[in-house]
Amino acid sequence: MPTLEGHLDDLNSLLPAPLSPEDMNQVLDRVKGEWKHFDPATRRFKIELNDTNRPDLWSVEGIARQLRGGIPLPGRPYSFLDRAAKRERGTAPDISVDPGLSRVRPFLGGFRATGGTLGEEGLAGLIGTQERLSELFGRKRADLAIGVYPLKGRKEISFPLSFRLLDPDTTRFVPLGEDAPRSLREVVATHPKGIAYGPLISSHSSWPVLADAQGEILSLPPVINSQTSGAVVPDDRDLFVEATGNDPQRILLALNILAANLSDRGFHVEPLLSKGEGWDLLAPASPGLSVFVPAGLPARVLGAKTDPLDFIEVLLGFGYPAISRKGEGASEAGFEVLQPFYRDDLLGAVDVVEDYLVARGFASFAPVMPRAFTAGSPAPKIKVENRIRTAFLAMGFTELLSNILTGEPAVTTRLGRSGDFLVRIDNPASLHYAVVRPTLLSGLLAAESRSARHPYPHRLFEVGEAMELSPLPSGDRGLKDLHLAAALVSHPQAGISELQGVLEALLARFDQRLVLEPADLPPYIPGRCGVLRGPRGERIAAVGEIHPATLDLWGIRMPTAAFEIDVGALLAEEGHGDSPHSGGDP
Amino acid sequence: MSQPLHPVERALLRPFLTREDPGSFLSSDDLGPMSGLSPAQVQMGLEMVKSRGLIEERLDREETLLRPTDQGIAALDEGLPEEIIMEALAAGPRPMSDLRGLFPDPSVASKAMGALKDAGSLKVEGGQAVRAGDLPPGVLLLKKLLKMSAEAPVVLESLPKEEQELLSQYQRRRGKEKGLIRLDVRSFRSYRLSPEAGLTPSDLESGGELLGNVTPEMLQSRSWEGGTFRPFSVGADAPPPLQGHLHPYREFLEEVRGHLVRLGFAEMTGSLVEPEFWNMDALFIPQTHPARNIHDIYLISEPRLATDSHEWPMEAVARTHEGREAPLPTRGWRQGFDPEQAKRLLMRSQGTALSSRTLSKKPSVPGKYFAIARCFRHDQVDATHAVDFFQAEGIVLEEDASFVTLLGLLALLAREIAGVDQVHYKPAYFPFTEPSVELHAHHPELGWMELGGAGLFRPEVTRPLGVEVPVIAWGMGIDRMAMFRLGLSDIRDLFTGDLSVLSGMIRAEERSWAHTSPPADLPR
Repeated sequence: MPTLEGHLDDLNSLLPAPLSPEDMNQVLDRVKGEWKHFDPATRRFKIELNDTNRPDLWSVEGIARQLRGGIPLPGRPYSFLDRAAKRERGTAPDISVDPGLSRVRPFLGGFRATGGTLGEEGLAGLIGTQERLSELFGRKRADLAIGVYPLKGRKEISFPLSFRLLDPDTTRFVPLGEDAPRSLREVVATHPKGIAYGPLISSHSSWPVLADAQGEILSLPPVINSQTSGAVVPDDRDLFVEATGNDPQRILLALNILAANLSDRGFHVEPLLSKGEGWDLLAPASPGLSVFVPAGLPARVLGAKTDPLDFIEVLLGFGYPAISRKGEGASEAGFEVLQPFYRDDLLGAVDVVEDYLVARGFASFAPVMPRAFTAGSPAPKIKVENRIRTAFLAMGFTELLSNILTGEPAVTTRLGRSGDFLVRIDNPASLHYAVVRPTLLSGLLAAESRSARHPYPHRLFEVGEAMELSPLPSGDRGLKDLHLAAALVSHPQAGISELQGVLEALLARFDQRLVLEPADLPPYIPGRCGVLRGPRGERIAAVGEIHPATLDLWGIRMPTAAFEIDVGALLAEEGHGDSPHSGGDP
Repeated sequence: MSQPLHPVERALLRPFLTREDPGSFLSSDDLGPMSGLSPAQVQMGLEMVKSRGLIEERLDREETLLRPTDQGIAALDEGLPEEIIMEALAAGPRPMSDLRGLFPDPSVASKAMGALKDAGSLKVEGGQAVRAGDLPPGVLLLKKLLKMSAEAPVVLESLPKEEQELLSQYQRRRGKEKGLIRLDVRSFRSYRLSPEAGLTPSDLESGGELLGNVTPEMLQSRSWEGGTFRPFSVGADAPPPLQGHLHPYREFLEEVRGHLVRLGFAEMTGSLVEPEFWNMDALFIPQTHPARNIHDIYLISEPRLATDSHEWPMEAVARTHEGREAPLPTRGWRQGFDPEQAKRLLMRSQGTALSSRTLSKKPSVPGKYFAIARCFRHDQVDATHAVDFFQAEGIVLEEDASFVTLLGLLALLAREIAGVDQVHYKPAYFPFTEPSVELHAHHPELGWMELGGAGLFRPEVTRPLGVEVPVIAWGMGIDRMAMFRLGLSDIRDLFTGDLSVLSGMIRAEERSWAHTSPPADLPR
């Protein structure tokens, strides 16, 4: 979730009436933001933004705009929308895009913003917005990257521009902040930005370069700008902004947001036309997209009566530029709602209705208690678990809960077992949590190894989920969910017979009998381990004394015995066995 | 004497009453031979007569015994950490990381290096540790004391003043139970008859036969008739019973489960591993969403893909993601849908996966379903992030489910599950619900906290799964509530294997039981 930093005075300068820190938490509900931090000395704040689908709110300007209800500041109208509407698409482009780019970085759009000033706060904000849009909305520049240039910096940018493919070895330019020209390939290999974003283009034989009418290289999108025009400074009055990527709609949205932000700061925005083979893009411009909201939907979603005029009025005050009623009285009656040009998050009618509810304020609705009667019930599996848990409790055992992800050695070498049927994590965050536990024994032994100071005797158990791989008829291996229970006793006289008695008593709770046959199964002492087998010879439970060599591996210095039982197999539970995925059963 | 004395009490009191000066003190060591009782009987007898106020106790002196800890005994064999480091540096400077590598626990190395640096025995130059002197005298002394105390207990007070001082400094640094040497305080006490009790030698007379334990024979023969039962010291310490405990966190979850079942929710369960389809796609989370990044989910190595995808409504979900008209007008995510990605298997990252499965299986209307599901988070594990955790969540299918019934349900859940009345609803964003809301609740001790998220499932979620009625979805973070109840500040302790931490949780749960009063009846 994006976090926005800013200055309260800067935010207030973009609002009709200043807000105090105390107002913020409530006011920010309208932008799904949380007031996270405010330093009264510096008046700087942090806001956490929860709406990942509204990049227009990821800036001080955007938040202020939503709080103003989408209305431009006095004297700073969004007149660039009219200029864009009037621009003739057939005219020569301001930026031409080479057809070969369709395989590398297909689209580019841009605009000029002149006659304003950013100041320190505005510049920091612009850079932050650019970063958030490129990183989060543009998925680390893969889908979208933004470049901002001083129009009259070290060298004035001359139009029209061209976006084309050049050879990475023979093409040379001075990357931003350096003084000597280097080849594109060198820049990507050595510059921090090149190392970070170069992989987006480096697999191609020629690379995207934006150049001006003089042939001066402006940038290597989406990696880095050149030193030709230099970096933007707080005093710059004229800017050029471009965005590249795979999706023209995404590019248009990003440029619309940046244009609105700069317009709010007093810049005059001039849309530019880019053209490639079979496409053109004029930005910023209103896409003119609208959403149809069926007449009954607002009341149906809210669960209370709504007034059509109120619906229109509230949304107009929330930034929607136009709403028209359609087919009044007819079955397909409803509202045609025009999407604000700086937004592209309306997927359907419910999104508009949510805005209506947010604008009215959630606190204004009276909650209604659900009335329909339904019968509740715990899952069958949980009923079994609770029967096991109370049986253990009655026998004086204490319950443990362990992590389901664990380290591989804990369930293999430290139990003397193989890892052949382990379910492994492909991308573990830590080797301590790299496999799904196939047994609960390791959790009990780990507890024992940490608890030597706790007064003996120790009588522990755990009931829970585990997994292993199981061979499929196809020869592949599938996932198998396990439902296990395990117990451990540790004290000077701990032995197999004590636990055999416990296991017998536990089975009796499910009207089952214990018939043990001797087995040789680690981590138990050979000759002191017994297993219970199911009708097909499968192992359902094993009980035994833990081998001293195993105790040694766990650092346990007390005689210890344990058992584990496959509850799922014992009770032939539903969803148990080879069908890998069983959901809730309605 | 109001109550006759127990034979052990009589034996213990006899030495006092038969002395020339009945008011003088006797030590517990003297009392053994004088009374003819075993040391355990002396202890028991003293407790009995003390609790009856028959004698007074005086603390004579205390001495502190030095004993090596397990670590101390190991250090005698392997050398003290400081020694090991100084030995390793004998051949010349070495990088700090090397030295840390000498110990299984790097913090042991850091502590020892710190101590050596403070004592001037070691210098650090450019990341390299260099020997700058001999082992500090403190370490040598510690070693000597360790050896002595391993052979026979050493009394701290019998050591020279400087050595006592050095040792207590060391103990302050290391804490009471840690380090190589443990200090145990032993007290010596004396006793005398309490003047107020007014005991006289005649109280030692048994005064006829008193009845002891009630036995089957006694009941059979009715021999108790007409006799007097010897009174037992009812207030004396009793041995604790051996008891088992259910895990307090699991019990907390059971409580939540109980509330939800009572509110009419039926429980859903499922596999720990889900395909992205049910965990993400069916919930209309775009395939490029950051939460689907490999840094946020745990993927399974083998098998990598689910094999039962032919049973899923893949086509309907794909059309919805891509915004291809049917089954409903949605713009979709305007990007291609990859069915192979949908089959990718991962450790369930949200319990909502169970809800999407349930929706696809012709659920009842009206219907309420819930899950308390183990979920997995790809995160650095620390005090606030656990690798797996429980999520409580549920869905409500109802012909007239709406935003206001959602708000009502949330108020009900806050009250029933968290025991809070004061709630606040905040607009929120989740890809699968619209409208979405965050539930904030005012906890009497924690202040305002986020209790959960909820909303009405988007039609993009319900329609492809074949559900035509509105569906309320809610989820609650229950870890934090549980941690508060169980007195924990580290989330990892919820799954601890350390039995003393577990005992602490059990105690905290017992204390909190006494402080929580059940919520009042709901208003109609």
